[in-house]
Amino acid sequence: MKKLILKRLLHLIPMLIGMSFVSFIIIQSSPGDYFAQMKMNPEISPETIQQMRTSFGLDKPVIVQYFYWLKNLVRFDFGVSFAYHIPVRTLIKFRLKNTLCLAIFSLFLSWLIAIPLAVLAGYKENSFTDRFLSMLAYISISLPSFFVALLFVYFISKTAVLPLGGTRSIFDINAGTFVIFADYMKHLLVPGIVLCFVNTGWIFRLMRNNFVETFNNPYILAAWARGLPARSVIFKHTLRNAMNPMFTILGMEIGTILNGAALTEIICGWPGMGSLILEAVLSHDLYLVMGSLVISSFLLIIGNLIGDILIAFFDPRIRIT
Amino acid sequence: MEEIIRCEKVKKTFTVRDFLGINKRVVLAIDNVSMTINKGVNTGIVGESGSGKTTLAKILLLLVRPDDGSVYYKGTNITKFSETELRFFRKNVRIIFQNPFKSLNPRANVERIIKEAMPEDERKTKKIADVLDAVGLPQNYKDRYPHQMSGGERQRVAIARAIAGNPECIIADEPTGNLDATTEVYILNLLDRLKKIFGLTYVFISHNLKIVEKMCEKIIVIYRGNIVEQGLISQVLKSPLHPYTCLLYNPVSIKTIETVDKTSQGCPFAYRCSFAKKICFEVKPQLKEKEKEHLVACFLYE
Repeated sequence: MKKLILKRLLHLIPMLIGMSFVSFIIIQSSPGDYFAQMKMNPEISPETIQQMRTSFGLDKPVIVQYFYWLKNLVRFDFGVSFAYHIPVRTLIKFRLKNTLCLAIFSLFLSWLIAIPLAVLAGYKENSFTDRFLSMLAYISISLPSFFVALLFVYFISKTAVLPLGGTRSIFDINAGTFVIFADYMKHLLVPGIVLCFVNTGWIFRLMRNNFVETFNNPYILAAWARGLPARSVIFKHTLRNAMNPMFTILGMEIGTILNGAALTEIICGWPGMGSLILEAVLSHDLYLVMGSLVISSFLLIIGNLIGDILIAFFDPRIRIT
Repeated sequence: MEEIIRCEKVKKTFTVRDFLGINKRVVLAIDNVSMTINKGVNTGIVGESGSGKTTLAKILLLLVRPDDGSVYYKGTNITKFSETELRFFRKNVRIIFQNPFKSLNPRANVERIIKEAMPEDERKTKKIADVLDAVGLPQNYKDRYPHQMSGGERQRVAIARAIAGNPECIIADEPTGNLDATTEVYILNLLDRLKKIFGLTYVFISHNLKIVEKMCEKIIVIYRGNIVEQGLISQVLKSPLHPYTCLLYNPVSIKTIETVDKTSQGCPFAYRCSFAKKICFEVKPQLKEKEKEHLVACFLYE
C-alpha cells in the first residue's frame, strides 16, 4: 500500500512538469501579454513598461522563462501576480480554501442524498418510486449547471432567504468564531446547493445501475437462498459490492469538481479558484494562471489517488501488486 | 417414502417488455408442473437450454414465487410464507449454482462465506475446519478470496457453503456446467460421498443425461415448462418413450427437426416431433402412467 502511494506520488512529478510546460507554451504563444494593454495608455512611458517586463523576467526567451519559473516552483514560490502585485501563493491560498470548502460541501451533500435514494430505487427496480426518482435524476443531469445557478440565484435574490455573493456579511471584529463560521456556511449554501443539484443526478444514476447489476448477481440469489435477512442481503452483500466502482467516481469527482465549480462560482459570486483562473486568463496574468493550473492538476491527481486507495482498501481483488 | 418438497400445478409466466416498455410479451416458463422430491431419492431434472429447469428449481426453493399452484414442504403449504417464516426451510434446503465464478461474493473470504451459511446457533460450536475437510479443501484456504481459487475449488467452496447448514436436500443447478471433465468427475464423486456422510437428497438439474444417469434414481424430462416424461432412471433410460427424451438421449440417431420457435395449442413439442399427428397440434397430452411409476405425456402411447 505504501509502495503504491509512493509510486503514484512520484508519477506526479513528470505529470506536473509536462502539464505545466505545455500550458506555459500555450499561454505564452497567445498574442500579447499583460503589459500590452498598458502600451495603449499614453500616461505610461514605454521605458516604464520595459522596466516592468524586465523585473518580471518577461524579456528572456520563453524556454528560459519556463525553467526560471520551474526553479522557483520547487521552493513553492509561484511568482508574483501582475494584476494584484502580491505573491500568487497568497492569492491562491485564500481562493483555494473557499473552493475546497465548496467542493467538499457539495460533494458530501450530493452523495448523502444520492446513495440512499439510489439503493431505494435499485431495490425497487422498475417500480413507481424508481421511475419517479430516475426522472428527477434525468432532469438534474440534463439541466446545464449555469442555468440552474442562474435560476437559483434569481430565486434567492427575489426571496432573500440566503445571502448572495462573497463569503461573509458580518465584519464585526468581536464576533465569535461560531458566528463567523455560521455566516460562512450560510454564504456557502447557494453555490453548494447548485453544485449538489447537478452532481446528485448522475451519482444517483450510476449508483442505481450498479446496485441493480449487483443485485441480479447469483451470489445475491445465493444469499437469499441461505435465508439471510433482507437487511444483510441489501447492505452487506449488495451495497458493498455496488460501491466498488463508485470509489473511482469519487476520486475523479474530487479532481473535476474543482474545475466544474468554476461556472457556478462565477455566477453565484463565490470567490473561489474558478473565478480567479478566469480573470487571470483574460488579463494574461501569466504566473497566476500557471500557479492555479498547477494547484488544480495537483488536486485532480490527488483525487484520483484517494479513489484508488479507497478501492484497494475495500476490494480484496485489488491487492497491491 | 417421506416426501421433502412437493409442488402442485405450479405455473410461472414472465413478462418481457420491449425497449420502450410498450409492447409486452408473456413467456410461459413453467406450465402446470407437479412433482415430488422424496427423501433419499435423487431426482434429475433434464431439458435443453431455456426449457425452464432453473426456473423450476427456483420455484421449488421459493426464490421465485409461482403465479399459480402451491409448494409444500413436508406437507405444509409454504407458498405464501414470508421470508422470516421460511427461515427453517432455507436452512434445510440449499442450492448450488451453475457458475462458481458468480455465485460467491467477491468480497468475502472462504471463512466468512462458510460461517454466514451456518445457522446462528451453530456458528460457535461447528468448526469451519470440519466443513473444509468434508469438501477436501486444505485448511489454509479459509483466508482465500474467490478470485484466488480455481473453478473447481470455488465450486467446492459453494458445496461447503451448502452443507454448512446441515441441510437434508440440496438442489444442484448444473453444478459442473462450467468445469472441465476431470474436475467434473471430482465434484460428482465429492457430492456422492457427501450424500452418504450427511444423508443428503439431491435434485440434479442438467442437460447432460450421463450425469443424471450416474447420480440419480429418478428423472424428470422437461420441455418448454412442461413435464413430458418422468420415471425411474432404469426405466426411462432403458426404454425412453417420449420422442423428446429419445432426442436428448441419443441426438444423432433420431431424425432431427430444426428448432421451430412456434408453440402449438397442443403438445409443446409437436412442431419438432417427427411422429406428430394431427391431434398433437390441437390437444395437449396429459401425463399418463405407462408402466409403474413411469409417466409420459404423448399421444403415441394412448
